[in-house]
Amino acid sequence: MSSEHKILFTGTMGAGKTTSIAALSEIPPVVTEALNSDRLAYDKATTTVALDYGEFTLEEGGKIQLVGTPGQMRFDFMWGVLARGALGIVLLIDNSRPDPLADLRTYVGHFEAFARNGRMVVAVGRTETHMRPAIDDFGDVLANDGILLPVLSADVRRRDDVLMLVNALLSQLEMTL
Amino acid sequence: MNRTVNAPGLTDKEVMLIKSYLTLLPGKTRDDWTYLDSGVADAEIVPAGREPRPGTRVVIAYGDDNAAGPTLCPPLRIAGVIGALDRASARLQGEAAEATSPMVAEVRAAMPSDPATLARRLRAWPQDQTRLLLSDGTLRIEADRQLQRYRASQPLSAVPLSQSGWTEARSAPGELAHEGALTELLWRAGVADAQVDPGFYRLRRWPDFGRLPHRPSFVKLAAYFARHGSSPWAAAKAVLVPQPDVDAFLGGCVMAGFATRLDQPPAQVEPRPAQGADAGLRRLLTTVRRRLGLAA
Ligand SMILES: Nc1nc2c(ncn2[C@@H]2O[C@H](COP(=O)(O)OP(=O)(O)OP(=O)(O)O)[C@@H](O)[C@H]2O)c(=O)[nH]1
Ligand SMILES: [Mg+2]
Repeated sequence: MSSEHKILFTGTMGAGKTTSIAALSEIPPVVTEALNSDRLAYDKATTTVALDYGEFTLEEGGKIQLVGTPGQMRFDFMWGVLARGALGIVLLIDNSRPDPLADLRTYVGHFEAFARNGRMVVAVGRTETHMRPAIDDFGDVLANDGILLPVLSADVRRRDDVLMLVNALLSQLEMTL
Repeated sequence: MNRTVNAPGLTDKEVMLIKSYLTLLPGKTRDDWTYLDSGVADAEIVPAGREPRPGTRVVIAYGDDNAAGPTLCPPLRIAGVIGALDRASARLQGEAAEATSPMVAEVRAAMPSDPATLARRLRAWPQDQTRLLLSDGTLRIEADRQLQRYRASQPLSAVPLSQSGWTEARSAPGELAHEGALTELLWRAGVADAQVDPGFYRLRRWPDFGRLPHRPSFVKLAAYFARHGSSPWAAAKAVLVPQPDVDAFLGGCVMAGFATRLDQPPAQVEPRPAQGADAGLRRLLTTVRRRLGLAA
């Protein structure tokens, strides 16, 4: 096994990829933020345009790379490249978006092999203001496709929530052994 | 809905800009917003370091991207104002949903001090006819074939409770917070009771560990039961978790509908011969856990 491994963070614009990576990274995350040219789609000042990158080192010199996909759909050609060789994927859903269940379908469709092998965890954010769809609704969408994954409500501004996501991901990976 | 907003802490120029945006907004925001020159508004735009007026229901943090809740960042642009007001609307609406669902508080208040007793009582009733009744802060469990009776009683005073039943509650608007509280109630009861009938179980949904109280071993157990139909006993051996943890986990899962009992034993899975790459991955995962302080 090589000593560099990757966890991918993906999800729509503003879902919290950069925030999650920053919570875990021991180096200041490399962000390629640019002024958001699409503030009507999502109102935040900056957005990631190429990728996010953070990392933490392991004993014995290994390293876990934390990579975030750019949120704007026009960069979706990069997703496959970024996912290649990843241990697993954290999919961040923003429950305040117009159709979070459609977002789920889109991303699970893109990363289907990961989803089917249990190498993915779904995090639902902003549930404090947007209770619907319910966590169970996401589970239903996955179950209709014969997929069972952890769907966990998470506020990635809290490091503990991000750790729970990683924990669920690792637990699933352990079961593939 | 008509809502009011104000921003007494901003400069005159900023206030003027906001007022002029508001005149352009009707139809573009979820609610209709007007500027309130004096008094307490539904939402107040508050610059960092200032306190909102007492009684303000929603604070829009100005120039503080890290604040919890709605934020607005200078320079003031119309899209930013729309976004902030819509998030304020969501807050106000959430508040309303919570308010019309006093049952959430009631369920919590009624949470029996001895959830195991509740669990035993729940298990004793025929599932599809069991109803959880709440009135005046007391929790009652009743069974009745005339489900309609309960549906027609006080709004939210009766909630279907059986494993398949509780999902029914979702179809009624405004009951989601309530449903969440019920799931939590069932989960807690089942975990505390820690009784599972002998048999084989499989996970059908992961419990939402972002919300439901759990023991560290539960995450592993969920991953295990998601992959394998298994007896509680075999699970304890496979995952190296104490039997009482497995029983508590399954007790909660079965009670809240996250796991189902299998009609027949699952096909035996051949243990795979350990491969070199697997051993490497196992070591890696252990190291990552240690590095992040996650219990193995
Ligand atoms: N209120 C609330 N805010 C959240 C939650 N999760 C994340 N946020 C906020 O949402 C914003 C997410 O921003 P980023 O981390 O930059 O999101 P991103 O996915 O990297 O976005 P792009 O790079 O534009 O694709 C941050 O300001 C977080 O503080 C949540 O559960 N509730
Ligand atoms: Mg980003």
